[in-house]
Amino acid sequence: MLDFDRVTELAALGIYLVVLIWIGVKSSGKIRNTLDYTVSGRDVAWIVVLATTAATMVGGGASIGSVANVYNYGIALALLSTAWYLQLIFTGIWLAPRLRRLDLLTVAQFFGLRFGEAPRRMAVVSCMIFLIGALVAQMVAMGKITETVLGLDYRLAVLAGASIVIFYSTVGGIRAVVKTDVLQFVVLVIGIGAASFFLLQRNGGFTGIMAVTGDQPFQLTSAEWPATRLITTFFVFFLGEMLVPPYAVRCFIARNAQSAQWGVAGSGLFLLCFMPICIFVLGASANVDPKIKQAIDEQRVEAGLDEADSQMVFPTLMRETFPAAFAGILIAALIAAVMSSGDSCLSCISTSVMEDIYRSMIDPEASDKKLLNVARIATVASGVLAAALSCLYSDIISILEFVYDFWAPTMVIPFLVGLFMYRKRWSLAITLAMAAGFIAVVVWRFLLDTPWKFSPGLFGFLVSLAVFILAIVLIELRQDPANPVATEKELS
Amino acid sequence: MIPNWLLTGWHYCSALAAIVILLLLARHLFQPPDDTEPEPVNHEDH
Repeated sequence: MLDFDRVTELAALGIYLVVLIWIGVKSSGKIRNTLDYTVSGRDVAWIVVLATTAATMVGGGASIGSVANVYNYGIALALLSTAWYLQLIFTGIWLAPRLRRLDLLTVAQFFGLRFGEAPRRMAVVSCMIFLIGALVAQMVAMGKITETVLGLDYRLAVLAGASIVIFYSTVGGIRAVVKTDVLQFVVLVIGIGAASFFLLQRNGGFTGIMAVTGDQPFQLTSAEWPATRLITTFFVFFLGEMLVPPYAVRCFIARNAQSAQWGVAGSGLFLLCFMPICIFVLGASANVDPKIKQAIDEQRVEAGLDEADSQMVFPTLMRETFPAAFAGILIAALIAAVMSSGDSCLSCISTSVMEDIYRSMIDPEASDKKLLNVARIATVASGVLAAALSCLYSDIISILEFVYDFWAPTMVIPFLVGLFMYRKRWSLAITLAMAAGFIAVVVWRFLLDTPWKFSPGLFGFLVSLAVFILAIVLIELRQDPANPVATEKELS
Repeated sequence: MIPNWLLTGWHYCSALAAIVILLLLARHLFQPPDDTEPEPVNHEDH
């Protein structure tokens, strides 16, 4: 039997989900061609780019995952999340305008344009590994939150959440994804902002929190998180998501280069200012109230865990602190965070299948209508595949570690070289660096079982960098001085 | 350890940033669509 509070929570969540479906249906009328479906006609204003980028950035890990980390380990874990936001600022200021000017649809197109067919194909593989892995992780998060919070069966929760995301992404493409992201951004900011402000006032400010918890949550390092671990994880976070397709697409959809720059850098700046401190207040507040602490501990013991799991802290804090209707909105905000990251991955997969696989390799002469159908079929197929995989693999952290490990070693150096110091004759060096990074991660992670717990992603990135430098030294030594150098200007 | 006054200041800045961004977003979303046709340019005048 459901009590009144649970019905109120479900009603708040239900209204929110109906609005998402309505946005999807409304957006479908504005899809006239593949450009509308994949890059929203490249007409998105900077403030909307900011909202959609921020909503995509704040997924399950940056919201509930970070709150649980702060609850377990203190402020250092909130400060660690600044790596994600600084990465967005870096991307926005220096990379976004350059990417927007190239009028691309996918990340792999950039590799084809700059370095040729082999790097393009490797980029398609890297993008697919990242996008499918990230989509599965978000669907797992969606299922687990709904299971924990609403008491639904995990598979039923995945099925319900995935169906809604697949529906609006298929009918409305990136237009629906951007509009739902704006709604999700507003719900997230109001929900997290209001909750943290209320909790800080109630607990008597940071001094009041410290009086109850002691200075442990305020310490920058701890036995579990010494400075070395914090610094290496910071770089893994910074590089692990750099220019991943969901952010790159936010550059492609902007109205112009300046909108891309302001939107992406603005989202990083806003999140840097907003998220770490709010997340710290929420995580620390959960440590203040003995009733909340006891409720979390009971769940932890029941689950047989050493530390509080990510999906326990935030919902328990909300339920114990706020009235049911507001708690329902905040729980909707959590699901919004996860959905907005999942739908972006889904949209990028469909664009990549349409452009990088179907049009480039199968039918270069395909009509726009046919390509649009391919993109829609790809959205449904990849969504169903990810939902099925999320029932088989449900460990979010290991899935995310896997995708992070493969992204930076294969993609970051070619991206930076292609944007800042492009030389046509370095294409072979890029191909070798991408291959070396990939092989290094496989060997370090799977064959050597991650020695000294040194991140495979960081190891692969360093190997890739070393191979690239060695290769360009050899290329430059063999270079005929009479051969002209292709500059970025010549290429564009 | 970060001093409490810095954390408090940061928290107020975060609230201010959220209000500014939400207002900018609201202004963009609720502004009337721009239906005005651009005025034709008379090239002979230039």
